[in-house]
Amino acid sequence: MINYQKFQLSNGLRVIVSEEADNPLAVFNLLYDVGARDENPDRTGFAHLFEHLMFSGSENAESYDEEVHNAGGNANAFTSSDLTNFYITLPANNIETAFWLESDRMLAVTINEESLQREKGVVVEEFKEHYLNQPYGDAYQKLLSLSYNVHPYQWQVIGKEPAHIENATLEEVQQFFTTHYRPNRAILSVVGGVKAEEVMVLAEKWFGDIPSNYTYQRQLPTEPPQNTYKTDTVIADVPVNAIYMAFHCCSRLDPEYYATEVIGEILSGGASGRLYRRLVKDNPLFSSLNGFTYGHFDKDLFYVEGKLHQNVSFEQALAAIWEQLELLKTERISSEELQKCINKVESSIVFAEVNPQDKAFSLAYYELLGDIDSINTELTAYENVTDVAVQQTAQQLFRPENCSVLCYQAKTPQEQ
Amino acid sequence: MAYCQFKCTFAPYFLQYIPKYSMKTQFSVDRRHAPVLRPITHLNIVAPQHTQLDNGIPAIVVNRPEQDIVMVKLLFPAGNWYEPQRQVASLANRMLTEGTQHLSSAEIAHRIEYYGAYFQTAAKNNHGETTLYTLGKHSEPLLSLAKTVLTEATFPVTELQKLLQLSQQRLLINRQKNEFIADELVSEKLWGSTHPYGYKIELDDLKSIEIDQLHQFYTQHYNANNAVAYIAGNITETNWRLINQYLGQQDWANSPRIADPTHTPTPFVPQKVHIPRNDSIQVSIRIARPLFNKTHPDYQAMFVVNTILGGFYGSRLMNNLREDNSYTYGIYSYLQSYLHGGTFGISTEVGKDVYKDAVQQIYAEMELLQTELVDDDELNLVRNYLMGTLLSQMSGTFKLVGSLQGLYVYGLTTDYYEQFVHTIQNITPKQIRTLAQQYLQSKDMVEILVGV
Repeated sequence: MINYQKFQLSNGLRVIVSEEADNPLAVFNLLYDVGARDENPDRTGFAHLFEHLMFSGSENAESYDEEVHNAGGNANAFTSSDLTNFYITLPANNIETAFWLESDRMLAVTINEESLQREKGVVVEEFKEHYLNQPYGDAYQKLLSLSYNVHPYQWQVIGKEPAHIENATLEEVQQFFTTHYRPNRAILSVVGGVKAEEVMVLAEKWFGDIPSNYTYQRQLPTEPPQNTYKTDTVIADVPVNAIYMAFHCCSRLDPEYYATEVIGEILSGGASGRLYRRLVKDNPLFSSLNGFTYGHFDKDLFYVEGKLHQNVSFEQALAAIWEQLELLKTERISSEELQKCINKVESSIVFAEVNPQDKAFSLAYYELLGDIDSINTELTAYENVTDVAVQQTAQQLFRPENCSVLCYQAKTPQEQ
Repeated sequence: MAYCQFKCTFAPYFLQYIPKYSMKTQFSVDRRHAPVLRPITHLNIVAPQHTQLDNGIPAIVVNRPEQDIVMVKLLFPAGNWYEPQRQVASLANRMLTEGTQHLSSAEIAHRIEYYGAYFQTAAKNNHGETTLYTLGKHSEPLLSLAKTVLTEATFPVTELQKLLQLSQQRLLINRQKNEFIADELVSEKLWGSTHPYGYKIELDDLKSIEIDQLHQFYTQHYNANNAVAYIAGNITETNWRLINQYLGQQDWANSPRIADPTHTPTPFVPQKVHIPRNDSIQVSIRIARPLFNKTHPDYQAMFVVNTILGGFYGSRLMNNLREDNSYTYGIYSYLQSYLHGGTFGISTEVGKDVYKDAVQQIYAEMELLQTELVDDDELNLVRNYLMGTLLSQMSGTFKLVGSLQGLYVYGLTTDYYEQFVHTIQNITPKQIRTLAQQYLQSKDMVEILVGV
């Protein structure tokens, strides 16, 4: 059970506080309601590039990081398809420094040609390090391109290609900032050794005079239902063959989300998951095999990905996966399997409360979802999932015409 | 749940009505001046309780009842340091949960996950570890399982074969990665190709493992006479009694204490190793040398020196290679402390077209620390940052347990952190320069580049 208080400034900034009396640290978490899905299709990777640019310094704080470090703190950020999240962990008695820094960059971040060039370079190296210079590094971009025709989830957060990042202009950067980085599009949560009254005063003091902007209306194209089975093959210099499958599924906000998560849990929730147990251990066709969804805010994908053993053909591997998916459609899961999922959710909720950083992000995340109180009722939502609902959801999900498959083929298989 | 339940006289509360453009609020804030910082001058370390289980296993207990979680970690002298043949330690550890007299691998996995618990096993350089995390209300079935795994594991040969096949495939995939090859080479050059901290895993090591070796290693090393326990969370009387009932009995205290073998690193030779790889678009750079572990009198001061050079996001290397030159997504330097020695190293991935200059810049930064004195602003920033880091390492139940373990395995006490605070606050620019001259000479380093 997480206790918190919530209020809102007149410029629209929502503020959430969770007090932890004996914590010498505090986490200051500022979430912006903008992600890769809000990008222009010719400027993919922009939201993430902008996240980097937010560390360029601001009107009154020339070096953001130096100020954080001087306060004994550490700052970082991440971008997803749906949101961008910034956080600072610092000694609780220096919490006002976080307010000063974050409000100053929300008011007037300093981005010029020089800082833009520099961060473009850094992000392109990040692109290379994680997506281009890695075996299978481009698999997900290829799978997304195959699965989506119109929705912006068709590109990864890092971007479709480095050129999109390299082409970003200063004008576009300014535009993005004044559109998205506004108090009415942000949620602040503060967790740790602070008092709610103190946070309210500081929030009003530092953020109260920052103007809002209500011009952006998110109008993303709806992905039409897929009605043919799609496949693609890549041949590359990788050690073993791999399969990547994607099924269109519900969004984080749909009622079937919980049954979909239960399916992910049953297929791949740890070493007792069916895919690992049956196709990695008992009948070893794969060296790894997982099924999962990310819980994105628009209609999402359910993924199944695996690496094949040497002597296993793509046909054999796919048939084995389909057999497991079919079982979920034809048979109800056991009450023990369902109870396992519920117990795991319960335990992960309690464990997340131990870490103030997780807690701060969760509070802001549930507020963004539309109902912060649901942070304390998640378990009930899982408890209400039935075996019938799981079966129906599986029947809806695991249809060939709803599926895209990428076969990632090793150029020259290595000897084992 | 609590929406703004207290009086807010100063914060207009417009949940229903949100104006399209908010009006400027009437009072303004002076943003030019940073809020006054309150420096951290000391750490409040909550001392753990030192006790023992009924069978004599020393136990360090951190009681934090805020969440109903029980953590029980057991450390055994069962790391690479003790293995009779390569990979025995690691595989014996991984086989713990692959079958017992009464439970199959699948049943063990199911039982742990059914209760939403985590049972992590790891074999490291010196220790083999098992860690149970569970909600307090499920502690009994999980403690019972932990006991079974630690005393009745049967090491089924079919499970070993599957594990070996997986390990081989993982090795093949990792060998495609520049970073992996570079990291392997660093360890080998610093310690030697036969030293437990330094050897590279080969496919042949995995192929030549026999199940009996693993089982023998298990019986000798995973034993109450050789164990140390770290226990944390909601340690109620009931939970303590259950821990003793399952892990505190004499029935698994029947092996002799393990003697500490001696391993001597191969004499270190500074050298440059450059490995070309086609199709690479980045080069993995590793620059490293043997140094000392955290018991050495210069360790804490070198920790400060290392922080300035490359130990955090605001370091000189990060500023140079990432911020000024955009050569990399990140660069770090580190002091790695092992029970039997230590190392210093620098690690980064850079664009292939710029790697030569990147290497030059790294050496230039090392050189600069040897020739010029660090100015007060920079040193103060690093002091403040490090104090915040220490504070963070001491807070939060699991982080605190990790920090305590990091002391006790070396025979150190929490006084070490008092001393650390003193070192951080009193180190001088001249000492920093002297240490850099002593330990950061480029001629003393091994330089490994993979993907040139």
